[in-house]
Formats: sequence, structure tokens, C-alpha cells
Amino acid sequence: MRKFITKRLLQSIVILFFVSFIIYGIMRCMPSSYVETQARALSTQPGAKSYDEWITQLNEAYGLDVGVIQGYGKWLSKAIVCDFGDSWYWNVPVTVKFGKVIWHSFALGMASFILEVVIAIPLGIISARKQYSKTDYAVTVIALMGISIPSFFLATLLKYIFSVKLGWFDLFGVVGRMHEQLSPFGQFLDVAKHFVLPVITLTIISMGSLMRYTRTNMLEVLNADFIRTARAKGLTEKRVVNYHAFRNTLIPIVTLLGSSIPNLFAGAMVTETIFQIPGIGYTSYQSMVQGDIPFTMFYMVFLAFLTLLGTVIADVLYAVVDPRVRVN
Amino acid sequence: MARIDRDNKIHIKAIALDDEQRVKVLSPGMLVTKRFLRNRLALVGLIIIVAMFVFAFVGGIVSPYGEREVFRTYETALKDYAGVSLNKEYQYSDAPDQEFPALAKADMILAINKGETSFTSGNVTYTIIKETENLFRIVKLNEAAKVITVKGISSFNQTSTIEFTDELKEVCSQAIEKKEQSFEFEGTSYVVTQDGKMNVISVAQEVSTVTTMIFSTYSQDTKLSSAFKVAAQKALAANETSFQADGVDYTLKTDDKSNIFYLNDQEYAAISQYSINPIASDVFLNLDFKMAVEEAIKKNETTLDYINEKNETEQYLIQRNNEQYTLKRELSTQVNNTYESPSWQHWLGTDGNGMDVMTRLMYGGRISLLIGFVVVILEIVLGIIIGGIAGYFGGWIDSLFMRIVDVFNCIPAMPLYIILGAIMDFLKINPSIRIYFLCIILGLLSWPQVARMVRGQILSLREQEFMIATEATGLRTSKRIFKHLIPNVIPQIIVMATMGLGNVILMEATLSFFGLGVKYPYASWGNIVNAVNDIYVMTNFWFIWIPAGFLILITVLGFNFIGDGLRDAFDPKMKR
Repeated sequence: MRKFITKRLLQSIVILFFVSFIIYGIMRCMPSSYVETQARALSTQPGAKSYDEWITQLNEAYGLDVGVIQGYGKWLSKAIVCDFGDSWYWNVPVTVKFGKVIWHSFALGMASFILEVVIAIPLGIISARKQYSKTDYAVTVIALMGISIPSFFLATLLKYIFSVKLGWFDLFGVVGRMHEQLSPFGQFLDVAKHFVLPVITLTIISMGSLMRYTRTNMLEVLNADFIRTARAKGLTEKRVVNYHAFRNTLIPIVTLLGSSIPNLFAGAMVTETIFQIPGIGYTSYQSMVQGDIPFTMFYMVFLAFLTLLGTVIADVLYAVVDPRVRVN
Repeated sequence: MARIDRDNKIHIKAIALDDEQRVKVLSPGMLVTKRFLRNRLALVGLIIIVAMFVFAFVGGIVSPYGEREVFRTYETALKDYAGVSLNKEYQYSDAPDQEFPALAKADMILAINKGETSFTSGNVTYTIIKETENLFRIVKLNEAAKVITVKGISSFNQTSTIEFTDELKEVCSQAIEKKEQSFEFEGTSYVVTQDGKMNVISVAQEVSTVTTMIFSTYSQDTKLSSAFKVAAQKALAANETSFQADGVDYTLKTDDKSNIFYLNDQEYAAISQYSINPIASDVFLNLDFKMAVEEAIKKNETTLDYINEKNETEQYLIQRNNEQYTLKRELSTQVNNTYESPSWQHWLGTDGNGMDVMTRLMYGGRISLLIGFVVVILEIVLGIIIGGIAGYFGGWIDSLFMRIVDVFNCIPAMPLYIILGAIMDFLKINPSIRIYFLCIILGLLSWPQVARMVRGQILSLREQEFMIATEATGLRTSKRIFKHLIPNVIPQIIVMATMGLGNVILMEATLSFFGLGVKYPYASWGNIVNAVNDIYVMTNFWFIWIPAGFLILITVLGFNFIGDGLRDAFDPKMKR
């Protein structure tokens, strides 16, 4: 087991190395308009150096003057000790900005994750138990609609209905106009209120696949021989489903959920941007549009890291949950 | 089998137990089709997709409008029509083949203000002849004679070739006696200047006529000569009713409102202290209108109702700003017909560029569907080749290819698309070429999943007996992979491709929504919804963005229904 985990981790590190290299290469193709704008702004100040001098100095400071491979080496040697440089757009170290914004994303992700699990798994089980019933069709249609609806459209639609037409929520942001005057608890409620629409959006969008996944796995288990045995033994249908079938369905579901835990930190770029929630997704969207190479670079490597972590967790969890895997 | 024909004869034909006619055999394809069609959701999906194709590809042809056709409309707005000012600037009408340089003009103004009668500018001495309060003639002097007048008798001392006849001498003496500055004789102007005790008679050479009065003509093509202007102003000053200029007779009528000159009893021109100019260069203001404006301004009125030649009343607003007056008028201008509500002409109204939303949706559907298909074909081909090779050969090739797949799988797609979109923005790539780039980028980033699936399937398939058989018959490796292994993976690939179509359309829509995918002027469902980034559009014009979003939703839903149905149809084990 330990050998297996070690092997997977080492593999992941190698993959991460290559992924970050590819990302770095692409990042270097980015229009460095930010540096040029900055140099132009600095050179117009009274008594300033010329534009050319500034741009050389800035390029040097940001490590853009050396080739891609050397530049990557430079970046990597710093990144290993968690120094991702200073963000150009936010004017603070990347990690500081990250620490500030990540909790918004995490809260958003966590809330929708819990809702998703609470809604999707029971619905998936119900639709599997009553396969080809009206309930099953309804659940399938809802699930597929959740998968099919573009997040930006859903978010806008929710905003249109609840913010514009009904006026229940604000259109943008995480805090209301009177936020500063509220008591700490009131402030918490205020932020929570602003999270309602984004959480609903994210839940609807991610719910579908989990629902389908639960249904498929539940069907597989319900078709298994041991369920027939349990029924033949004279167990109540309730006990068959809730005890024998459900526990076995948990194996793939827990694996899936476990592997999606890292994604709670990934941020929902589209949803956060539309609701202007200052989480990691919206922050990096702004960074990307502004050509902030250090922050974007960090975010992309961070996402790649999360994906790899998810795979490793899935593999390990699979072994933990299912004793049969451990034996082999 | 028994068959009874028309004559009631019975034909009996013996059939074997395994006769094809006896056992109804369905081909695997037919079985799948039957199972597929039994699935109601899949059928709904199929109908949606067919409808969508008809909407996008036939609709675009049927629609009376083009993808980029802009509709225009007229809108009235209060616009500046003319500017009026009391003229204090000198107007110059230069004599033919004479030049009055700008520097000299400045010197002249100084001289006039000081009350001098001559000035020197650039080695040339000019003389100012004051005709009336507002009219000056600028002349150059050519000395003709010197006159010494003693006790009323003038003796002429000729200094040029001009001959001094007795009549000229007579006129000259009179002028000197009256101490006139200038006199005219036989069409030539003479100027008398004093030089000590002597008087110098010079012939005046016309350079320019300077006045603060503004002439306006009755018809647009009349060009007033400087001779006319001089003669007209002289006549005005002298309160004469007729005068002659360039050998033509004009009459002048003056009242307290206006001074109008007539040529052959036809209104020819008018003179006034106000300068009235239209704002638009293609407008000619006629004299009646100008006089009406002048009158209104003199009366300090703020509105003007003017009855034009067609007997229509035009309303104007007069705004005063110090010495300047502005005439405003409700003018209709042509503008793009933006955000028009749904009507019979435009079923879903028009968008922010004045284009028909319905038609844009049709063309947008074409692009969205085409991108979907191109990308899916690209990813399937790449996935099959790489997955197939990895799965078949195994060993280090498999490890290498799968690590490549891992690397690609780890690259975060959405941020990468945004960055590449930004790069394309920076390079100002042509919108039509950009669509191809978009396809390639989307395809290059989505093949790993297909490759993984193909590899997994092939790993298990290649251990089966039929593969040993192909090896035994000595088939080529490529034939073994692509003729015998891949066809067995086709069902899964079809399912994946159908689901993938939906995903690609979603991805493209999201990118276009952020303005990084398909760009204006091309339509795509995503960039139509993009209009909601303007909150005003979102709250007021539902008909622009809701239909587009809805179309994306049902198209992707249709593909997912079909994919789901196909999966069930291909894999009946899942059914009880």
C-alpha cells in the first residue's frame, strides 16, 4: 500500500513538472501588455527614465529577459519554496493574494458540495430503485438539464428572476451596501445572503453528474447476485436497499466524492465572475485578462496540482474503501 | 409455408428448421436502433437535434435577412442647425490677380484702429480709402504726378506715363481744393497724398475691399464680384437707389429691416451685419430665412416659426451665448435600429447592433453546431490513434502515451482557453480564421479522455481469441488495430462523441460569452448571450439573451438525451 502511494506520488510530481513547463511556455506567449503599460506609465512620470530603459528593467525584474527554459528554471527554483513572485496586477505577492481570496471560493465550493451530496445521492438512489418509472424519468431529465445548462445562462437567469424581478438579492459582490454598520452576526448573514444565488447555480450544475453516477452504480449493485440472495433470504425491501445495496454503492461514490474534494479549492471561474465574488476564480480571471503572468501561472499550476491530488486520492480511497483492491 | 393464391389453390413449400424466414434475425445495428427508438427521452433528443439542424441550416436560408444585416431607423433629436453672430470681423474680397497677405491684413487692422490712412507691410505701402463706416478699400499707389498749388493755380508735374488731360486736371484741382483723399475719373481711382507743400496724385491699384458687412445671395450659385460689393456698399452709404457695377445696373431697396439688391427686378443679394452659417455643409440657407432669423434676433425672441417655400412651418429654437446665437431644430437622423421589441418584421427584435436576433440565432446555431462537429471529429481521431496505439502495443509505449495523456489531462482547460483567447485578441486575428483556431484548440485539449477510454477497451479486447486469430492469419499491425480492434470500441466512441458534442457546444458558448471565442461580426449563441454583460440589456431586453441561452440548453440537452439513449441501446445489460 505504501509502495503504491509512493509510486503514484512520484508519478504525479513528474507529471506536474511537465505540466508546469508547458503552462510556462504558453504563458510566455501571452501578450505582455501589462509590462508595456507599466513601463509607459512609469516613463511619463517627471524625471523618469525612458520607456526603453524601464521596459528592460521590468523585463529583468519579471524574468522575461531570458529564454523559456532558463526562465522556467528560475521560476521553478523559486516555486519549490512556495515563492511565486509578486502579482503584477494586484501588487502583492501571489501567495498573499491567494490566501485572501481562496476562502470565498472554498465557502462557495463547500456549500454547493454539501447541497449537491444531500440532493443528488438520494435522488439517484430513488430513480435507480424505480427504474423506468415517472420518478426515474423526471430525475433523469433534471439531471441532464443540470448538465446541459450553460452556467453563465443559469446564473444570468437566476439574477434576472431573483435580483431584477423580485429584488431579493444583490446583483453583484459579496457584501451589501450597509455591511460596515452591521453586527458581526449581521455581517455573516449579509455575506451568506450574497452567496445564495452562486451556490444555487453551482449546485444545479454539478448535481446532475453525481445523480447519474449514483443511479448507474445503484442499478449495477441492484442487479448483482448478492441482492437477489438477500431478497431470497426474505429481507424487507427497505433493508435490502438501504443496507445491502447502498453500502456497496458507496464504494464508487465515496471514491468520486473524495477525489473531488481538492476541487473545492479550484474556484468556479464562470460563476464567480458573473456574480463578481472575489474568490480565486474571479481573481484569476481578472489576472488573465490583465496579462498578470505570475498570478495566472500560479493558478494554473495550482489547478493542475489539485487535479493530480484528486486522482491520487481517488486511487488511495478506492483501496481503502474496497478491501478487494487492497489484496491485489 | 402455405400460400393461397387468387384461384384458391394452395401452394405448400417445405422449409428447413433454421430457415432465415422462420427465425426473424435482426442485425446488431437494427437491434440497437430498435432499442434506441423505444427510449422516449432519446427520441425527444433526436427530434430536438433534427429541429435544431433545420432551424440553423434551413432557417438561415429561409430567413429574409442576412447574418450581418443592420437595420436602420430615423430618430428625431434637437440638433444645431445654424450659427448666427453679429459680424465684427473684416471680410476681404481681393481684387483679381492681387494678393493681400495675412500679415498685411493684421497691419491694416492696426492702421484702421489708429485712424491712419496708410501703412507699410513687407516693403509694400498700402493706402486705406475709407468709403463708409464699415467699408474700406485697400490700394497700392503708383505715383502719377506732383501738384504744386499756388494761389488757386495748380501746376502739374507729370512723373509717369499717364497723360493728364485738362479734364483730369480740373477734377484733380477740385479734389485738392476740397481736401478730398481720393477721387475717381473715368473708372480709375486716384489718391491724393500730401508731401510737404506738394500734393502727390497717384493711381490707385485695387488690392482688396474690406468690410464688416456680410453679403448673402438669393441663389446658391451666385458669386458676388468685389466690384459689386464695393459699388453696393457705396450706394448703401450714399442712400442711392441704383448703382452700376461691372457694367450692370442694380437697384437697391432699403427699409429698416433689410437692404436688398435687385438685378433686373429680381432679388439678387442682400447685405447685413449678421453672419448666419449652417452647421451642416450641404445646407443652403435662403435669404428669407436669414432675414427672418435676423428679425427674431433683433427682437430678442427665443423661438422662430419659419414658413418655408412649401408652406410648412418649421420650428427653431434660438439660444443666445454672448455674441453668438445658435439655431436649433428637431432633425431626424438615421440611426441603427437597436433593441427593437419583437414584432412581425423581427420576431425576436433586434440586438445592440440593429441586427435581427432571430436570424443571428440561426447563423449562430450553424457556427455552434459546426464547431461542435469539427472539434468532436478532431478529438475522436486523435483519441483513437493515440489510445489505439497505446493499448495495442502496451509496454513502454503505453506508459509514455499514458503519461502524455496525464499531462494533457492536468492542463486546466478553461484558464488556458482564456489565455489563448487573449493572445488571439492581442494578435488581432481575423474573426473567421479565429473560428478555425478555436476548433483546433478545443480539439487538442479534449482528446485525452477518448484516448484513455479507447486504450482501456483495447487492453481487454486484445486478449480475446479473435485477436489471436488475426495474428495467426498474419494481418498487418495497422489493419489489426484499425480493422479489428477499433470497430469493437465504436459503440463507446459514438456515445462519447454524442455527449462530447454537447460539451463542446457548452465550452464554445462559455468562451464566446466571455468574448474570447467566436467574435463579432460572426454570430454564435454564446456571444449573443454576451449582451447581458450590460446590465441595462439584461434587465430590459429579455428577448435578446433568453432565446439564445435556451437554444444552447435544449441543443446540449438533445445531444445528452441521444447519448444516454445510445448508451442504453448499445449496452442492454444495464436494463433489467
